[in-house]
Amino acid sequence: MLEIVHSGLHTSIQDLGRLQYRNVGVPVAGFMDEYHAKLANQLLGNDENAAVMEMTLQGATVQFHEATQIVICGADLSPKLNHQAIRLNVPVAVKKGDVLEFGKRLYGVRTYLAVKHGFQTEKIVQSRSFYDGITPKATVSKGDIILYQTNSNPVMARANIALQQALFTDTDIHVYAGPEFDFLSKSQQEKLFSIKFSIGLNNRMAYQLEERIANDCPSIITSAVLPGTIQLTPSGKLIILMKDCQTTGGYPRILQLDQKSIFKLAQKYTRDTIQFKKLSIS
Amino acid sequence: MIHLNCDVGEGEDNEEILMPYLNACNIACGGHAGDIETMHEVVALAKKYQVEIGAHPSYPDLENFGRVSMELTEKELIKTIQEQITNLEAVVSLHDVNINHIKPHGALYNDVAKSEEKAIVFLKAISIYKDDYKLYVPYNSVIENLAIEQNFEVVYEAFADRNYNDDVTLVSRSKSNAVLTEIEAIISHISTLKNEQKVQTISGKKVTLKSDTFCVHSDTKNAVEIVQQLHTYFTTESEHVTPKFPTYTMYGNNGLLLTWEAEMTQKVLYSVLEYQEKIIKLKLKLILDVIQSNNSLLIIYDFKKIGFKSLQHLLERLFSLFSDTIQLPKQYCWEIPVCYDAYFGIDLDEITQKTTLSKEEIIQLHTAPTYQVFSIGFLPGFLYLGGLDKRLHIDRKSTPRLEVKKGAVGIGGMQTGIYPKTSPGGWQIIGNSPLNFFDVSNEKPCFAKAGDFIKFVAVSLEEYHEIAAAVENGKYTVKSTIC
Repeated sequence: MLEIVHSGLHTSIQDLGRLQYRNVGVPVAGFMDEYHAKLANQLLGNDENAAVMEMTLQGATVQFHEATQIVICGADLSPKLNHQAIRLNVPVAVKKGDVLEFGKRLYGVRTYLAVKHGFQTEKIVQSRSFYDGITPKATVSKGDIILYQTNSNPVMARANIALQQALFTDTDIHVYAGPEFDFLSKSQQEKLFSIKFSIGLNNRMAYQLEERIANDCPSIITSAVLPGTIQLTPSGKLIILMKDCQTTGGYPRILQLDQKSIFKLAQKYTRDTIQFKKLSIS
Repeated sequence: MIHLNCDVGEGEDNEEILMPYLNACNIACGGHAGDIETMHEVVALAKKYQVEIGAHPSYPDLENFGRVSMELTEKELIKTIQEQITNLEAVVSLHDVNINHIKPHGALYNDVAKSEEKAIVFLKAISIYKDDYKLYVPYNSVIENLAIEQNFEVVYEAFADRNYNDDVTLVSRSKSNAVLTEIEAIISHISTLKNEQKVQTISGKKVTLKSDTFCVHSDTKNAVEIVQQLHTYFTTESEHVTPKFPTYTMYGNNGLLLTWEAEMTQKVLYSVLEYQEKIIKLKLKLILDVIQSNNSLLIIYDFKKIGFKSLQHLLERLFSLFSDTIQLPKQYCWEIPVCYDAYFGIDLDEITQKTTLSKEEIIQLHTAPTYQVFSIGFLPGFLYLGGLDKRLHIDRKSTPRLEVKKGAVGIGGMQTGIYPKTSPGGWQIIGNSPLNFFDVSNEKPCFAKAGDFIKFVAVSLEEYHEIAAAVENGKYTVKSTIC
């Protein structure tokens, strides 16, 4: 087990989420940046659905009470093990008593701490992903104990993983037309792909964009929405739904992000700019 | 219509898409491909879609997929052929269906078409099945003549996706023009065969070729598209009526949205639920999830297995195959206790001012109808209810509350509902229910489902607390009746 010494800004346990309960209104939740969370699991030889700790902007400080192997993937929040800087994407063995902390944010927003075999928090409705109202807590707090299996094996040497810098710097967000894309006029559609959007309020539920699109679309009868769906709100602002989003909504669904762009967006923050690039399906 | 057959169970894993379009299938039974597991899977699909089942024996050569001739002794060849057919017989008997025909595979098919020696041995091997199973043969072949002499019931097979030589043998797969993949070319090829009993060979001649059934190879890279397009082309107009609803819309690269009329009516809801039930019953591996809403279904599919257009074609085909109305799952009517005491009904005063209704009238109007659950969304366990009395259509609050208590019963515009957990909200709050609408400790976390009914029953503060205590102790069962 490990102990949360300092909770960081928004630290939670996540796995692939809950895909089979959307019909009773349960959000998917799960890794925001699935690419880096899965990479972390892969580097430790874990199941891809193994639970990891997702930290946002500011890392948590944790003390390991049992030996295991860990790896950190995603945003570079300057991780240190017992005050010694450690590298991203490189598994390290930790001993009882070791302390992992984070420092300055160098790039990215979300980082993932994985332990060998994954964190063993309670599975609720078939997932360990924290979500307020499903799991007892939405985030970890100081003093929390998070379980994992003890593992004293040395770290297996693995090929170096090249950092995919583009996943952090690239501002292109690839989108498909959403079901209500045709509600928009030609000029509205063109505007979507010609201007740069800046990110406003954002969290695990949604990313709001600042620039407005003239909106004269009717609302729709409440219908399913997905992580990555872009809704056009009555004010003309766009909302990009993320992993903790509700399962249904009534605003026109004008665009849909491709999977990779959801991961990319999860590493962006307030005032970052993005530009939409349209994908077509063959 | 044309009679289409396909070689299946060969590891392509596209049978789920192909079967609804086929009249017959030839199932690999261990010679060139296939094992007990794939045979079971394919036979089950054939049964589901009433497709004729054929045994598809081959030279025993998994490595070369049965596409290379083998020199076996008569005894060896007979043994392997009979073993393969026996394999499939064992499987079909478990599914309570029968084998319709036998079709040799690959190099064996070509060899028995040309070599009298091989054809004699093959017919000897299958002579025990003569009275029960038909035999697929190519027209004007060695095996055809021998089989007819020996009183086999033969079915003439032509290849929809293969070019022919002047002697009506197939152009060798080693040649670049062996396989037809262009849909137009395949349609023209089949049309000539069907209408004139002739084939246009690669030299441009038209030569007589009888055909009762057309084969499409399931491993041709666009086999699914070929089969779907052939079905569309050769289905006569009268059979091909596409209903106006639902409409099919692409939703990302793995979502297909079915949408009905833009209205929240029971008629639309039952259409939605019926389609949902059909999709669930079909148990397609390529459909990963179905998310139901008031007038739509969002189908999440495995985009590695099927594209949007093929999935739309497949669903339209399946819905027309299974067009009979089906029984929806049992619908329950749930009795929901609500305390409308002023302690909970914090907006009752505001409503009496906005309308001319008294508190008693509001409660009476709210408890009178039987509401129907149209969908569940917004929050885990939040029920979208239809049936609110028009006199209770009251606008949402101009400023939403930061916190609406769990169990709060509210009205927002044309809707009424219960907050399953404490959350921000803008509805007018008229009461509170002590029940849990989403309980993670239950195997079914939400007791109600779309299609069910809800009846609100007014309870006093005292009763409210009694029920709340029972709910807390896990001793309360929500009252329900089957509708």
